Amino acid sequence: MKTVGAWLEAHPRTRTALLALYYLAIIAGLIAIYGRGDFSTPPFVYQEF
Amino acid sequence: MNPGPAASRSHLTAAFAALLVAGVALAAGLVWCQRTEHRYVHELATDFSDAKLQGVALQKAAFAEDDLLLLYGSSELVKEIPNKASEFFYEYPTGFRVFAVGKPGTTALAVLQKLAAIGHGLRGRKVAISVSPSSYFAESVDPGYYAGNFSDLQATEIAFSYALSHELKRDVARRMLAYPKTLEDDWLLHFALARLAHDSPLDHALYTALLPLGKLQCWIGRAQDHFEAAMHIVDAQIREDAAEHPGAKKLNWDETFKRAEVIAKTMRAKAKKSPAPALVKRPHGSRDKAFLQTLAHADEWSDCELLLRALRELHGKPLLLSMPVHGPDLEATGVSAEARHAYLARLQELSTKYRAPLVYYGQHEEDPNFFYDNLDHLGAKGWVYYNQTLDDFYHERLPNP
Repeated sequence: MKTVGAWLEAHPRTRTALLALYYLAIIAGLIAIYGRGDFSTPPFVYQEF
Repeated sequence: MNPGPAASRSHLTAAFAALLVAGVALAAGLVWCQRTEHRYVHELATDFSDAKLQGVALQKAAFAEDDLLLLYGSSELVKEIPNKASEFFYEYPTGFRVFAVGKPGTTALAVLQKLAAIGHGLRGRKVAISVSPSSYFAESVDPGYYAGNFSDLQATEIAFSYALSHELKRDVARRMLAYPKTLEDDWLLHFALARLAHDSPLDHALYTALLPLGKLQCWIGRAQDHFEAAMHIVDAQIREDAAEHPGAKKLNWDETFKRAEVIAKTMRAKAKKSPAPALVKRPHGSRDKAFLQTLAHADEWSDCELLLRALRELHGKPLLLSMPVHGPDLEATGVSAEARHAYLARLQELSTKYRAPLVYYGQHEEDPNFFYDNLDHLGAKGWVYYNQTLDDFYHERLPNP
């Protein structure tokens, strides 16, 4: 782990890019969980359907 | 250990880049969704999915198309009956298709919310509305029917609409609050409607303070709606109609009526094998008083008036098509022709007041072939009458009100 950390410290652009991907994954996850609209209506009894 | 300024800057840069990429992807997705909606909306004329009925995007896309005529109504649109408008005009026999919107239990308040959510997209556009007389023969709308047609998105659009006057939103809010169960899961909508309905200076201030939040909710809802609509088109494997359509021509209505009469008679003969429950027969006119009292107090009248007010404010061009009342059934249950006429008289009053043309098929009150059953469902013959009117409306052959 120490080696990876040190390597990332030595390569700031790669670190920023990986962080951006990490944040992007969080945003995508949030959209996937909360982004879908609910257009369904409650079931109802209709006399002739 | 605190991260140094370089590490913090790195986080900020990454967060900004992620937001930018997400924003661009979202915008591109929305553009794709809208293109998909416009490309395939014609194929959804006979579709009755939630994405179409409870959303706004597909109805708005349909209003933007010159060769689609939107018809709002109730269960009659969904029943599998020959000559149903959405199927009758499917091959563009006179140059347009009927885009049907409605399902069982869709009353005027539900239609109002669907249309008001379209907003400025209604300006100058024709819209046909099928009216079921039986909705006016009960004092209140069944809460189950209302809930079954309720759309949180459409309701939010109307609550925070800039296109409608404050007075109209107030009056609509008062009606919507009569169905509190539909608002239980949305505090913002409920709170906004309550502020509109109470209408004090403090309520005005609170409503104005809420507007940005309401608009944000509308925006999020619209984005979701676009994705839902596009996903529905993809999931349902809707294909573009590549066939060439002959274009506008005149239909032979006499021939169509003759064929419809035959179909209607055959259907009636089949239906006789499983007859409807027997009516409780009463002496002539014995139920007139109760009928007129219920008719006078039916909520559907105020909802219909709100609908016509909204259409006037949004500069839509409505046409009302009312099915005839079921004359023989009402007569048998003690409602005389004079009492029954009160329905038409009041509907005509509204039609005149809002300059909305009304077509009532009164000569068919006693025509058993006009209907499929006695529950306001048009039969093969009744639909042809509707279709002729819709054709005249689309091609501007109806006389001015």
